[in-house]
Amino acid sequence: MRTLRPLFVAFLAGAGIWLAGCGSDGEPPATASGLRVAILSPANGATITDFSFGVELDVSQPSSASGAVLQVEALLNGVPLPLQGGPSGYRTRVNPGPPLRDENRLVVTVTAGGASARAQADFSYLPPKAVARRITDERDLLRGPLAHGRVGDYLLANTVARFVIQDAPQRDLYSVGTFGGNIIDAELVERPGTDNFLELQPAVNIETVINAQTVEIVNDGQDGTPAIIRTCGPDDLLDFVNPSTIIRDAGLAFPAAADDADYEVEGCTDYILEPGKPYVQVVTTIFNNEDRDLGLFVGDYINGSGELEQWTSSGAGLGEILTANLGVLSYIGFGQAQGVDYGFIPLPVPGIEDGRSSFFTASGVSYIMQSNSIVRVLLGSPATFVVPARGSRSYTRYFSVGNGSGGNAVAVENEVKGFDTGTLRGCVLAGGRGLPGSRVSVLRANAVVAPYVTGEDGCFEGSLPPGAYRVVAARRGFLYEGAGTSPEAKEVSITAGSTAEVRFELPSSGRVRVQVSESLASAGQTSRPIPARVSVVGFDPSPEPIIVLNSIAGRISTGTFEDVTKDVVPFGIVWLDYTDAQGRLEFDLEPGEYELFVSRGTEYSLFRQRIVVEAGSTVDVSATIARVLDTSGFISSDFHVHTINSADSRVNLRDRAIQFAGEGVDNVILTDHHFHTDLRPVIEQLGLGPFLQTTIGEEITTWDYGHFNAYPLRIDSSRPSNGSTDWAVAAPPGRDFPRFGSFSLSPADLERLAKEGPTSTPDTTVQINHIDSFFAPLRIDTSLVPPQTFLTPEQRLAFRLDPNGGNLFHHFRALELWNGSNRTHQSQFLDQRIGIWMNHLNQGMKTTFIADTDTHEFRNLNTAGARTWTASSTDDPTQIEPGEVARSVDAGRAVGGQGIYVQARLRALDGSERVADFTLNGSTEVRSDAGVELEVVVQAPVWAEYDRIEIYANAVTVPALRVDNVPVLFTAIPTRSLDLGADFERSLVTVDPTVPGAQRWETQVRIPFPDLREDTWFVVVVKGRDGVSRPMFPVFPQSLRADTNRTLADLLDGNLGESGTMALGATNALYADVNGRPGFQAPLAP
Amino acid sequence: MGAPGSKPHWLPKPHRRVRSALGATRVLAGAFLLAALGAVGACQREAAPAVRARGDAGLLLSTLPAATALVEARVERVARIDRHGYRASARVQRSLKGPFEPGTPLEIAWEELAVERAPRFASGETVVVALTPLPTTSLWFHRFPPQLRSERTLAVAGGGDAFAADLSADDLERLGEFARLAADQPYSLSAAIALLRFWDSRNEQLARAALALLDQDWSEPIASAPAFIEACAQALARPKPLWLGSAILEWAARRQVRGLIPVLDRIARAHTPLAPHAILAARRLGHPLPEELLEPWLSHPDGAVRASATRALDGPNAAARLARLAGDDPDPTARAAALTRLRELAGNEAFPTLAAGLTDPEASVRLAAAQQLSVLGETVRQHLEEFALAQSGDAALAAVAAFEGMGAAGHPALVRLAKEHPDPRVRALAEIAARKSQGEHGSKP
Repeated sequence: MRTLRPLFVAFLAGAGIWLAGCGSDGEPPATASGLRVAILSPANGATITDFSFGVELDVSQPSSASGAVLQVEALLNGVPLPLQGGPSGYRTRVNPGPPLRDENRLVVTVTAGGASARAQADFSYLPPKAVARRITDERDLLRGPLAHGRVGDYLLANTVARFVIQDAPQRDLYSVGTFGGNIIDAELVERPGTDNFLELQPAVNIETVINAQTVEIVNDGQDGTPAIIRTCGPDDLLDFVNPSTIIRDAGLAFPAAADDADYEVEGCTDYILEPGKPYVQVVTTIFNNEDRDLGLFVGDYINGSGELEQWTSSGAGLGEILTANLGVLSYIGFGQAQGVDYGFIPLPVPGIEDGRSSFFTASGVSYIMQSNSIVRVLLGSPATFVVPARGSRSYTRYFSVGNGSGGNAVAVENEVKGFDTGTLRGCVLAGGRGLPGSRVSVLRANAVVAPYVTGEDGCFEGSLPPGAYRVVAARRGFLYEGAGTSPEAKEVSITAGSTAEVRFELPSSGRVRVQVSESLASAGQTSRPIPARVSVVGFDPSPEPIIVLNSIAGRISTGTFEDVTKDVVPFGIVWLDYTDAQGRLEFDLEPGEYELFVSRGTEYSLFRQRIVVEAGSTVDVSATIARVLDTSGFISSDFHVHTINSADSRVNLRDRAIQFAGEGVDNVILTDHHFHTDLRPVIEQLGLGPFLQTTIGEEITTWDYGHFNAYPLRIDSSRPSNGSTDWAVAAPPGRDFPRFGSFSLSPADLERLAKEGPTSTPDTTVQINHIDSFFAPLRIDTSLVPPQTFLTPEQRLAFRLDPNGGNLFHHFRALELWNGSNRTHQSQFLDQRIGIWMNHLNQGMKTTFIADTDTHEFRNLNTAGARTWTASSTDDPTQIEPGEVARSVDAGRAVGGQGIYVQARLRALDGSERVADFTLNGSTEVRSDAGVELEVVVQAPVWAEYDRIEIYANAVTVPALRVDNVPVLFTAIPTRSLDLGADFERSLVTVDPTVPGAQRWETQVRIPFPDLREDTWFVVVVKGRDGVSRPMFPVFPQSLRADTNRTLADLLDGNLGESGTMALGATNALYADVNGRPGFQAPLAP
Repeated sequence: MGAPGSKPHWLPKPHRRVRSALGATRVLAGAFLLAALGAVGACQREAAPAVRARGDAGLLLSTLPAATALVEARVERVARIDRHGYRASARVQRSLKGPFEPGTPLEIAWEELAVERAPRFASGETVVVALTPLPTTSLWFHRFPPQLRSERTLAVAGGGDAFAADLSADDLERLGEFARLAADQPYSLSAAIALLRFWDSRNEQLARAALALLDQDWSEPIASAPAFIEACAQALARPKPLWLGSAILEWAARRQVRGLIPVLDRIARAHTPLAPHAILAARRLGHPLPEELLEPWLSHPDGAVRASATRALDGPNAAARLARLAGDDPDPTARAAALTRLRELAGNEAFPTLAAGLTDPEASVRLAAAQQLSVLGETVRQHLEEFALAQSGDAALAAVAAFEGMGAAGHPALVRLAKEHPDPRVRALAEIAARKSQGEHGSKP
């Protein structure tokens, strides 16, 4: 305040209200006539902390002047105050509002009969205000995993909550946050460092949003009234999304008036924060500058994106559902974000008959359509929000932040909509002790109407409209109250103004403590602690009650307590987690009998131990595992990994690091959508450096024509996205529409920008991800020479591509053929994608096959999926150079697998001893004058069985899917197949006799091709087959049949023929140059 | 949609086609630079773009009771204060409300939040404007610090939109009269009667605003006051556009202005397209008129007129006729009106026609049929369920909308459609709607 005071005085001086000669000590100056005035309240130097306060004056007039007319004037910051009373005592009440400021001056002048007296009081007005200000000091910034605020942005804050409005204008392609002027950060004052919210973007017409160009402080809040920030701008496309194409693909109608439609409109959004409220009122006004009325589907894009579960009060449970009407949308923090929640509450637009709003959610991003039903819009209903010609219209919603319960959004809804409410409060305990982090759900008609998360004391509280409800409670690792397999509901009746209480007493739980070590006996050393995965196999005695919904996307399961739509442990596993760098892990577990496994991915042995957990006791497990595969000269990477920085992933960076370290991956390439993430600081902080290297990458995510991973990249810290690749291309404000010629980049231009852009490196390479999402929508037939796109100009425009853009096929050096961890992913690889790759090879386009996970989750173990091993100059993760990994990819020096590590080698049979292989210093191409011999070396841990080796040599491809009669997906026919027993043997090699199960399967076969006359490429695939080999449960636990596994014994019986994830491995291509002409001539080379 | 190149405000220079990737980087940088230049230029630019806020005479009227002043003033000078803030020096030419005598200089302030628009006032213009005290936020405090404020510094009411530049002398006189009468008691009988005069205005916004004000709760029971009835009758007797006449009659029925029944009778018998509306209003006021009065209007060439006549159909033969109209009338508005009226008249008996309406080629008719079936609710649910299962495409989708509109009563049918309907689109929408029909938070128990 001391720093503000001189400024304030200077302001007054500048304003010409300098009060020379006034005292400031509060003593009542008197004139010679004896006329006196004193300011009794507020006292000079006082600090007012109430919003409203009284002003009291004392005027004394000598009896000799009693006949004179007395005039009293009180000026607060130069503005007259109305006074009451007299002739000696005067008073008035000052309420929040102008002219009050933080620092104030009250000047009172009394005149009577030509004499005058004056008094002055300087005081601070500091009730718990709301404030709006531009952030000039980093201390004003919020912290947390998704805190993107920067100096220059704007702060809206009160004593309860803080929000950041991003500065404008700006363009940074990053989820819904391309443009500025939006809420990007929020936290409770009492819970700093918890920001997990990405952005709320006001939308004009489904595909268009407000591209804010200005930010203005309308009210700074110093006068005690609400703080207001306003942003304004024209409409532009939100390039990140293109809903019209996805809706039409679903066979439903999308309103043509909202499909990339450019209107002469502008929008302004007021963000209004009252003192003491945890929510911002958001009022957007759309200005129609056309001479006709415009019907618009206004609303908002919202992407929580953090470690948040989504819940909507739409007659369902917790989790993302596709679309429904909307009372409130809530994001509930979990994991590291436990204790924070966000709420979104739309108000009906006045004048619209049915003012209910609705929403559509996909991949973590929701579009909230204000006062209109998405269902009815899909049936052809018109826009309900009509803005008159050259007029304007507004819509209002609230955005809140809370302490972790979805019920907080319900409370805000109750408050802003003026519902009558009562209070529900209660506690969840075990053994008399409050259980923090417990979930309590209030149910009505089998739907969750208010979810709560208990605080540190195990208790919760919220407001509900009057009515009868059922309340249930649960906590991970604990049985339900009553120890049943479903929660016992408590009936409560809420009446207005009253409080109902519930109390849950859960049975005591058990605890498990694990210590994992790696045996180094094979290296002549002892052992070391190591990060690893701990999986508990069995059946959950208190399973999550599922609320099943049917939707456009199929059956959706929502949870009564937790979001079960996104990240659920696979069948057969009740608990999984990862040890830290010291190999330690400890967790609660319901009493019962289980089998505990410790694993570390494909290269390691599997530890198992039966455990019996009892209430109140701890089971100690000491596990030793050993590396059983020899991958010397190659390091494993996951080339496709998402974190909390992706719009559709909620995995925090700590979990991501510890998970990949525990899965035995040497190098994790983080490829968030539109974001560059550097995991290195987290790896170092967790002490995981010796186990895990990381590479910065990006998944360049077009909406319509595929995703592309670029790596390695750099960080551009000047941008919130850290340097995303703007494939959609910036356009001048108000002109980002195809009709202005603003098109998205072609695939070729996109690759060029990724490799030569501001955050590229000399080694940056680009792979097409899940390649069907590229070749299918672009209607590319790769069997044609050269491959051709069959996309009409209209379809290109629908994709926002140049309708005259020529052939959209472009040869990328790497194709992600296999992404994921389960049978479906393996099937996609072999049955739909492998032929596309081989079409490339057949035409002489040397292309690298990539196997990775595309993991967005943690608990579902998609992270424990396919890997690619690339040739490396080091086996030490700390020494891995990301550029070398990319160079190996470009050169095709890579093999992929899940449970299997397969290498291949081509030997010239002409006596030259020339060899082709995947090693760093070798060549993938060999010249021979007398055919070649293919050598295949297979390794697999003993828990990953294989029984077939398939050789593809200049293979024939077969269409697997046609779109518009264009063959877009292809499988391929193996040239030769070898079966276990008949054609090859599988030997068991004990790697470390000190560790149970430290063994591997090994096979080496040599297949001569002495009569080869045409240049030929070779690819080797090794697999385990259903009914012949056992699935890899529980290391790779997905896809196991549930109907044949009803007991723990069933789960542990090997599961032969019970589906599950089978072992699979594949090499890249080796090239035999045998036709006598220099270089490799592919069979279909143009 | 405006013509290409008509968005010069944010960016003063023509936009070049954006195509190549590497060019994109340059364009990106250029775009930001130009945008910044555009923003600066916008602050400095004096030339007025073509678009201007039109003002809202209706807002002028509706804000009048609370306004500090209503004046006709000549704008002398317009100045921009900051990005959005404007001020104008003006001189009062005529005072309709408030303390300002003609000749008084005023400072009028407002905001242009849509920067694409020119200032709403220009030098030399004469405008009628409602004025309120300046907003109290800090932004306005900075725009008008205390030493720059006086009692003659005011803001345009209605968020800046309570003004009109083209009011007729009659409208000015009407505004002045209402302002005087509403000065002390905004909701007095005399003020209500003064509002009726706006029904003669050619300004649609004024007429609508007057009607909206009359729809509010008045301190005196105007609907039964003889003076008010008489004034209404006189106002209705004067010619007026069909939209206004029908809106007035609907208002009269809604507010139960029974004293107007003789007037309605007279209109119903006159050769005016307002007749069907009068017949309908009279019936809603408990005074059914002879059906034959509708005949000429049921065959009128204008579909909208036929629709209004259809809505007024009544009597023993009306249901059969409505059923025919619902299927045969070439105008979708008329068909939809027939469906609505048929449901009102026949209740559950209307089911076959309403179900047939779900197969109408026009989406608006299908939605109207769905809405009426929703009203019938549980009583037709089973029949509709079977009907929907037998239908495909748009008809079944519309049936989903009908069940959705039934709320909880429609839920079992939606669940069944979601499971059993052969069309995946219908299943999908039924599944979505099933969730909606389970009730939402905030609905009263």
